[in-house]
Amino acid sequence: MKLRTRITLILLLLAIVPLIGVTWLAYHNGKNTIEKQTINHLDSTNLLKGSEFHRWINDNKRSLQELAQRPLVKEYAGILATHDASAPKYFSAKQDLLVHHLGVRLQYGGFTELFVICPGHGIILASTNSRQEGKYRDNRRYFTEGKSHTYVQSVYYSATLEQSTMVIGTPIRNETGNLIAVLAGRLNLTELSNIMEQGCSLRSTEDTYLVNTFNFFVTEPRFGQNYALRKVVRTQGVEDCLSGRDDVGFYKDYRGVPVIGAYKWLADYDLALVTEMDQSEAYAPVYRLAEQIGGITLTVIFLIGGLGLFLSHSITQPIHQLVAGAQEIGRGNLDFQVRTAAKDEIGALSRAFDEMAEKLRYNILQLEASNKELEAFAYSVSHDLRAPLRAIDGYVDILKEDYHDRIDDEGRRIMGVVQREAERMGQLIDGLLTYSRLSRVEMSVSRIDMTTLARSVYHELTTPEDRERIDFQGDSLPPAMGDPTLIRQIWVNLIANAVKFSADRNRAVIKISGKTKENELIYTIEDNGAGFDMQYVDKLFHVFQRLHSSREFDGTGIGLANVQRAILRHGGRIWAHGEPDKGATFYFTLPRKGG
Amino acid sequence: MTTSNEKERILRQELSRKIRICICLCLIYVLGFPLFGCEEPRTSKPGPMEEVRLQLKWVHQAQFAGFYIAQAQGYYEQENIKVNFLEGGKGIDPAQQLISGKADFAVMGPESLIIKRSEGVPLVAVAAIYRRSAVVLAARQDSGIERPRDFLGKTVAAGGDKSGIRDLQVLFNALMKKLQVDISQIDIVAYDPTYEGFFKGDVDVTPLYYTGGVIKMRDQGLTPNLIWPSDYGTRFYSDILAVTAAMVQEKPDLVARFVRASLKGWQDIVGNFDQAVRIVLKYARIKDPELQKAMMEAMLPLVHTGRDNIGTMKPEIWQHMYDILREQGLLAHAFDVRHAYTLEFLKETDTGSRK
Repeated sequence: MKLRTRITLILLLLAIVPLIGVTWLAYHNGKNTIEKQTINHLDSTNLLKGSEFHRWINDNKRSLQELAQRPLVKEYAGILATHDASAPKYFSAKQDLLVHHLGVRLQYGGFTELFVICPGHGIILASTNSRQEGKYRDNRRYFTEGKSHTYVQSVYYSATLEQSTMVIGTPIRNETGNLIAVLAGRLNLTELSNIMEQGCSLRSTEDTYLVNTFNFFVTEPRFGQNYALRKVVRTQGVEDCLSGRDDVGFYKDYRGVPVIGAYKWLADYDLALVTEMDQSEAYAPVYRLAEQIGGITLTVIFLIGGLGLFLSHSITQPIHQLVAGAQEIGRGNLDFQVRTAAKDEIGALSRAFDEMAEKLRYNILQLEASNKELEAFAYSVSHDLRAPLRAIDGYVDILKEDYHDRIDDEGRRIMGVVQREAERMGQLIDGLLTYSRLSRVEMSVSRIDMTTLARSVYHELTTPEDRERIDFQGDSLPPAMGDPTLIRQIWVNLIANAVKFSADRNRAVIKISGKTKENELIYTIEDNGAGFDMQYVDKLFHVFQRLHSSREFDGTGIGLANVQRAILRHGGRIWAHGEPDKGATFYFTLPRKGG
Repeated sequence: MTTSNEKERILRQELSRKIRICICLCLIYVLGFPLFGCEEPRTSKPGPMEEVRLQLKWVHQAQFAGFYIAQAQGYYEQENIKVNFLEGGKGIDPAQQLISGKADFAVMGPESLIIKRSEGVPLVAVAAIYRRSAVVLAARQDSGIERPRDFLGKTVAAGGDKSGIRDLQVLFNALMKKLQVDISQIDIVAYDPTYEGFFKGDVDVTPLYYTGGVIKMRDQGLTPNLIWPSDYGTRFYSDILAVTAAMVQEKPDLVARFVRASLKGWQDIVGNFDQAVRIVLKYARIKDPELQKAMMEAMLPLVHTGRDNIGTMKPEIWQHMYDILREQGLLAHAFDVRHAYTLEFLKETDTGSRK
């Protein structure tokens, strides 16, 4: 993974993990708190509505009882119950009862209809709703029970009225306690609905309703029309409540929506009082909190991400510059300077790098300068040395010719030695010239057919007699990329050596081979000549180092040094293996793609 | 000593753990078995499905919704019963179908059952589907007729026709009798199921069914004054489920299962009204969703008033119905009405009562 990505990711992780932790805690705590609050709220609402319901019924009960105890009401009811409808007293009694007592009470609310029932047949004698008069109510509980005590008949559906209704019945007794009639009041269920709806408007989904033992809605739920006593509700909360429990629960309501519900069993009226609220509304603050935190998290992620990118960029940018600089310098552009403005450790590193490059450049320039000087020196030395050598040689010739008779044999021998040594010195100078030229010449790389090159070099270096004597095994060699002059020099030196050092063999064998290995080409030249002692293998490629005396084999001791130089300039390596009197093998490599 | 004690302790612990696991497994098995078992208690009953034929009172319509639902919801199947519905219609007398053995169960009017019973035909009611008569008397809203006494001097289409005794006439007559209204002062014309006279204004009052005629009238934009016989102490059941006395004696189990499944279907109407409408539409002759839905809405309070359990019957109502029919001279012989119904199949259907 890149440093930049790593830094950004670490920063993000550091930012997000605690954020998520905090978020979860906040959400969890918020949810718990809100759950508790909601439950408390629903519970208290339910309690409140329950007591409101009781109060409403009790108020109306008392109101009805008060009516039933009025002396005039008793008198009128007595007349209605005992007289025939045609009696003159009957009509006025009924009118007075309806107008001055029942009708007035209706205006106070609470009841929608007040009526007096004959205790004998259960017939309605007088009613504020004249259409009801004459109807039989003998089988109604408010009548049968109402004859003896005040009785509240819980909500039921009246097919006649085509609506739900709730009636209270109370006995009207005379002074002696005998039953005169039953006074009944039909409760105004709108008031009950109002009680149920009260306060619900504060919340958009709070819903309070009553359910009877047959699972019927008794009041209209908030999200239903004409449900009262026409629809059943079998939610978990209702069923739980109908089994007598007062509790709070999480379940799906009659619409199938998840709600939190509080329910209470009103034992006196066999009704379940349920208050519910959509979980979505209850949890809305938590969800809002979650949304906000989510937004903050996203923002933080973006901010931290950007920051991380910026930070890692500011760290890696100088590093990238350093890398680029190193590569540039590697390519030989020593003038390159990283020059970062950073003042931190990386800035110090890049400044150190710049200093190092500067020093390197200085050193290399110095080296190059001294190298050039050296080469110039070597060139001039070798060039200038030739003149005296030629002079020595010329003068020895003069001596030989002009003083031939005045010099004895010993003298002539010594002159021979002088001339030979001078010649050798000339060769040495030539070698040195080549050596210095090898480092100076520009390389021009091209493709070289090594097989042809090696063979032609061999032919150039050998006489037909030599070739008679030598068993030359030149395999086909892999072609190479390189400077043709330098490569040719390599072959010249190596083949010449092989020929030279196997000269005393009756049957000399020179074997040339080559192969490709990974990204380099390995060439081998093997002979069965004088060989060398591996002990001195290190000296083999040094200038003027010879393992054999010139007496045995002539040479300047500069050839292999030149070979090594040429190979190194191509980016290759050279090494050798040998054994005295058994032969030597030279290996050299060239890079496969050319240097 | 200590090591052997230690070993013993470990062994004992292991043993007690194993025992505990065994006990747990046993408990799961013992407790779980009836739990798993009770999911489909009926399928374990051996033998092939018992086929029964249910004679309906009239053509397929919402009136018989509960039976359709029991069928569609597989309640009969759960009781190992296969039900064939026999459609009713003009000229088909459900009582006769039962007597002749062409049907095993029948939906019929209680008046018909009591009359047959008085003739010595042993039919027994096992459940009351419509525990409130759908019969209601309608008067035009502007007629000023609000109670039975107002019928005096008016035209009432409550006369009999050739199709036999209808609960409409029975209830009208009973009502007049109960309220001691002098029928001779009322112009009684033949009942016309099209209510043409009523619409034209020739007829002031007509008896009709709350689940039929009333819907028709309200559809026409009329809001008639409805006078319920039950408000004047004339209480009748409308549709009851009847079998022969022999059936009750010979196959009480089948009757019990049939009643149970049927009432469950009826119970479902209030539980899931929309689904009930969908099921009814599959059966109904008139594929008018609005009409069938209106019928079902109208019949709901007659079937289940939110007070008692579906199907329940009250002895006093049976006595009341018997008295009315006898007073009108419709019974061949007096008999003990308690033999005309049985409550024994209703005991276990107290699904609505408080747990």
